[in-house]
Amino acid sequence: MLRFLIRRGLSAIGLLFVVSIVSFTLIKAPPGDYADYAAALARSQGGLSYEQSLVLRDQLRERLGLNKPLPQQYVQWVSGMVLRGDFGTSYVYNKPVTDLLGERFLRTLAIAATCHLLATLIGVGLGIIGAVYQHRWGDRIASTIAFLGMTIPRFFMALVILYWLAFVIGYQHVGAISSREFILQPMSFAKLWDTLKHVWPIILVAAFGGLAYNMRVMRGNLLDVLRQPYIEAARAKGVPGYRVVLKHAVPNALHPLVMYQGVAMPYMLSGELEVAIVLGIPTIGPLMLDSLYRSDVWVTTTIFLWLSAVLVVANLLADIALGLLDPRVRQAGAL
Amino acid sequence: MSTIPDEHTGMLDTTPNPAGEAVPASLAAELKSETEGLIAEADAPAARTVRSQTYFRLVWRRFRRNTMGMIGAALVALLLLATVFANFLSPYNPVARNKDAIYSPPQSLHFFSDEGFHPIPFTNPVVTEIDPQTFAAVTKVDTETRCRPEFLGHGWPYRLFGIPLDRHLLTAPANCPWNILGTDRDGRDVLSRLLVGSQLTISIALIVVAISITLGAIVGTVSGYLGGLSDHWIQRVVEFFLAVPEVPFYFALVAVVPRNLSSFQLMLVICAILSTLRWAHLAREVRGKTLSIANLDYVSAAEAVGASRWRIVMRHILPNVMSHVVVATTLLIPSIILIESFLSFLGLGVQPPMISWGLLLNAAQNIQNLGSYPWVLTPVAGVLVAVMSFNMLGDGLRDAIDPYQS
Repeated sequence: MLRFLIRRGLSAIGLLFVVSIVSFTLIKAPPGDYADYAAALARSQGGLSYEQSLVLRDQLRERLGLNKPLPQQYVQWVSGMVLRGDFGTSYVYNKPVTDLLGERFLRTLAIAATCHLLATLIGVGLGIIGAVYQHRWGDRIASTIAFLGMTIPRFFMALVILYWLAFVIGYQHVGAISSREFILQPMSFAKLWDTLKHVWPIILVAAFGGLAYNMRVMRGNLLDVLRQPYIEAARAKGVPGYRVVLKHAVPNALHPLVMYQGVAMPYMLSGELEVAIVLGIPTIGPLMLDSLYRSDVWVTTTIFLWLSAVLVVANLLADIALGLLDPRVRQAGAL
Repeated sequence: MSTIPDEHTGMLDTTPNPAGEAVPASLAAELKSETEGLIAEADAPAARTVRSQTYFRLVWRRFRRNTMGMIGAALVALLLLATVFANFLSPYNPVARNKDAIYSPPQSLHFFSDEGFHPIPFTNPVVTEIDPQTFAAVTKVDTETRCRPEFLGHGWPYRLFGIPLDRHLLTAPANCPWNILGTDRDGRDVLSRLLVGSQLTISIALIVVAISITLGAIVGTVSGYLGGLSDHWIQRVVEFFLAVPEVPFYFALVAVVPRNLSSFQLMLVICAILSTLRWAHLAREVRGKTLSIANLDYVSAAEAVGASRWRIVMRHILPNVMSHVVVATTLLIPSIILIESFLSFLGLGVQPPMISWGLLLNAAQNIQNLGSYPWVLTPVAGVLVAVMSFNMLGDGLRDAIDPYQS
């Protein structure tokens, strides 16, 4: 088990390294750097002449190390992140990116995790129904729900919900994370309930899209397991039908689903971003879109970096969970 | 090859049909494959030279029984036809502006009037008047005037396969609006834009899928066949692309696209961006399939005979993987359409002189617009139909693709 953990941990660190390289490339790709930006700002707002601003630019480059070779800059950037938690400064807000992201990022994670949990539970439930009642009404209904969840564009669902809330029933809680009176209050049950009243469309849409995949995987696995001889033996022994399914079949059909969780999480995060952007709920999504419109490259890249890191960790956790559940996975690590 | 009478197969197939209970499901499948095998053998003497059904006939026979799959195939065919002949089907020039019909609501089609049945439906123009008291704009349907389009009449010029043409299925009448899906903020006909927009959306999806599939199939086969250390490292790379969060990654890539590209260059860049991630999943699947095939006897036999690696991959492994690649293609197209629409909907995808479904939906991003002119959302119908039909076709194909198993 220890060897398995070490190997998985190392590959996760490798992934993080690649993610950081990609992010660094994305930061460096657009023409112009922070010194150019500061010089332009000093010209337009500080009243510096063009020559003075060039001097300022060169001084800034010297001080911030922006004229060093790229590998050195990369090391500087990574050590800044790891040692000091310094993720750069937003050009638009002139604030550290960490301050900008902090609360929004936690909201996104909380919402995505809720969606993920719901999608998994409902998806597994529907998958069991679909497999047990194969080719009958239960299966047809579950499959139809899954098919619709997979095919209807999420932003369209969000738009329809938005239209319905805003123009048909005149719902009070659109386009915010909480009501006015709760904004400055600490977290409490009342505030949580109020927040839920605002974010339920995200949870609904993202979970609806995500349960489709869970349902399909679960249904397929359970069908395979139900055809195995030991299930027949259990039935022949006289075990009641629901016990055969829930106690003997379902636990064995769950393994691939655990492995699949690492793949499902990016889907949930993307879903959360998509719906939050359409509904204008202040989580990571609208911030990232806004940073795109305004070319605020540090914000864009840091969001990408953080979300990727979350997924790498989530994948690692899914792997460890699978290793705990299934000794074969631990042994077969030599692949 | 001679065909088997259909009623014969039908009878054989429907008699043992207890599929549903856990135990007989596999039994029924076994019976079915046995009957198919028997039929194939019975078929042999008649054809003499051919001993069994070809793979494609077996797949087709299975696919034909899948109602959803058949509906999907029909819809996909219709959609592709409509895409190719979009210009011919459009009553209006999709880029022609009309200042007299800005945000004109959809007009209902009428086939019947007091004069009887009209094979070519007409519309009644919508007139906007100002309420003398409140100055609010009031729309009224003018039931006196009838706007009749001309069947195969001369309209705006276009090119089809390089041939200059100007006839349209229904040509909009001059000076009499026939906007059955309404118009947008510049008075352009939504129906025509929806039809012509399909061309760009479908083309982008096809380009992206072609790139992803080629990359995925090559990487997967090579990785699976080579094995060992190269396989290990290729799989680490694939893992990275699988772990990347999709939407943020596309956003981050869009952020570094230079702003001064022409709209055509931008479209190519968007295609490249959308091709960066989806190949990884296919590479995984193809690798698994290749691994199982590479252990089969005939591959060992080919190796023993002295066939080169290249030959084994191209002649013995790739053809067996192709069926999965075809299924992956049909299932990948809708997801690309979805993500492209979303990017263009946000204004991050293709840019205005071009027309795509997502770009048309961009008008619905503004909540005020959506509230006042809900018909700007109609292009989503195109996305829905395309995504559903390709998914139905892909699901049907996936179930039919393994005629030798189960």
